[in-house]
Amino acid sequence: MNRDEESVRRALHRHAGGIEPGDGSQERIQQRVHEARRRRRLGWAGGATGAVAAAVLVVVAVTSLAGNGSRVVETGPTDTASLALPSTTVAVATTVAPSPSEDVAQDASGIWPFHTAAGIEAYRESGDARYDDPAEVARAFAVEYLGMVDPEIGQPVPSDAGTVEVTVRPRGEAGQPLPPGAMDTAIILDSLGGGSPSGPEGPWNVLSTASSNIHLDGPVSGREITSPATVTGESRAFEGTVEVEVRGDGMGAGEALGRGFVTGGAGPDFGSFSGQVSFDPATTDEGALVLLTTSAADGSVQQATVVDISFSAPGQTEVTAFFLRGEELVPVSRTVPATTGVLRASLEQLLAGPTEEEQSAGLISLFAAGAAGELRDVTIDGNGKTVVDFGPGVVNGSAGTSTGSTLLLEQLNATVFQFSTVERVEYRLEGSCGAFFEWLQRGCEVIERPGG
Amino acid sequence: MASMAFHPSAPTAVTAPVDEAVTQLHRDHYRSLVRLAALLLDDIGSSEEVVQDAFVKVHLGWARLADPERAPAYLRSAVLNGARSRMRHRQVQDRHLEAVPPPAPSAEAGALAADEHHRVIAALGVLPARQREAVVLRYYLDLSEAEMATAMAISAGSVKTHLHRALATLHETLGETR
Repeated sequence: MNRDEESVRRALHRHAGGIEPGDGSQERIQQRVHEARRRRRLGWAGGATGAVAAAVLVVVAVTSLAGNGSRVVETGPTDTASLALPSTTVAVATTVAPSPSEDVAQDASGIWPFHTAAGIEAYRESGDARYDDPAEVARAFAVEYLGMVDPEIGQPVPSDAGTVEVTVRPRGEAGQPLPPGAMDTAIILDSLGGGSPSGPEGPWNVLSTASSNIHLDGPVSGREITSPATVTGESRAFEGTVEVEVRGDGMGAGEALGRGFVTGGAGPDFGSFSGQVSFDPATTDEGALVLLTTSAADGSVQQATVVDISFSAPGQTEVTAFFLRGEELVPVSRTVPATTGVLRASLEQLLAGPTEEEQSAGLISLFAAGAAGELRDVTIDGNGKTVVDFGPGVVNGSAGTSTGSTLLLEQLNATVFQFSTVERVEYRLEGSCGAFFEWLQRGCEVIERPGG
Repeated sequence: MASMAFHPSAPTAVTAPVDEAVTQLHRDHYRSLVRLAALLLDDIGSSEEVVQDAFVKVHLGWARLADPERAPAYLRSAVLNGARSRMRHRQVQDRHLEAVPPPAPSAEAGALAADEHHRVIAALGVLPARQREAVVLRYYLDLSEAEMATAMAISAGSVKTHLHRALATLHETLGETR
């Protein structure tokens, strides 16, 4: 064995040494962090409060091939069907309770029937046993969640890391059994109970679902999505049609935040699909993306691929204002109601100053303590010239020193020029550029974007 | 300060402490984590995604990290979890995609097939996910069995079993082609 171990060690290191990541990963990570922060309720860097993430479960349904591919249509891979689904307006709660802290390295939890630790706890205390048998959970999931009619349920097969896999299969015409394989959907269940010598124990929770004819590439499990969400993968189905649904936690068959379809291969070959699905704002943090195929004969659900997803916090947007720690500028994120006026919102947050918590962490602003609400007007013209007009309440004596005025202008400029559409800015006090700069003991000037 | 020329400061020059910390982590660990993931996932694209997912998680969860010194360990654990979940999903899908032939080896892979290290990597590719993970943790990261048990969230006994089976399979596969 030693010779094998040595050659395995050498091979792994040689192979790994030849792998070079591409460029731009740091930028992509920052971009994703930025987007997530913008959408999530997140405090400033030192004190992140409960991040609000909603998981969306998307279910994609594929229309089954009638009989063993007898309806073969000569169709190559088809792309890009638009999932047009008008998103209706729904009253959205903008206050979302912070979700409990979770280990940053934890996997996303499951899809059905449990969504929260509290739900699992309540089930345990209830003495109920209906989710203790994996095959029964798979059957209930197939019927109540996927919408299958009287599916055949296979034996649970142990898989990795305390999970089991249960295969479900629709029935053929007149309830005839179908051969294994072609129309299978594998349901992966996670053991929420302890382990025993005989193996993992219930209760069981559905983690994901994979079907033989619907292959989802993105979004991957646990990804945060926003409407419209792009769905890609490959499939083969009757007339190529795969139904796509976005569901919030707690929704079952027939319920969805949004629906659409994508078109993949019509069989016998797989064809790639790519499309978008729009959905209403979610009232839960999490949910699922469901892709389904349905029977050409009676519209019943044949197969499904399901992944858990999270929703970004609805109706909110994140803006950044710049405060000071000593002479160092510190960006601070604020979550505000969704608004198109991000520049105005950022300036309002700047004038409102650091929170008590931030102040105790050493953050200050050079605007007067009573400056909140003293933003009179913000305009930007087609050439990127921006005019910001303040009310008299912003004036603070300490900004009249050379250092003070420099730092105050740095706070303002950093806040204004974070938006790439701003090319130059003129500050005014009660409509007068001269008055603003007189406060700072300088002369009126229009400030150009740095480096521009 | 009195002589400081007046000019607007560029917002891009300003970063929060968390951003600096994560940038540093990226500099120090990104490449090695991608290599680790690639030993488990074969393709670099998925590996980079898994590692980027891990960085985003650590970044957004920074305030919940009890000890920032442990960030590299969290990152590795997030990468292993991410890779495991991809492997699991992929294997399930593969098992149900019998009509789809396995990807043909590239011309380059074919040319190198005679190479010992390539044969080992190829043999590794057909191991079950857990066995493959055990091999990589043991022989690439040089973890002890106790460390492997923690990283894989299984018992030390199971670690031994996975490793033993993996080596037996590798021995058989490599023996045949040697």
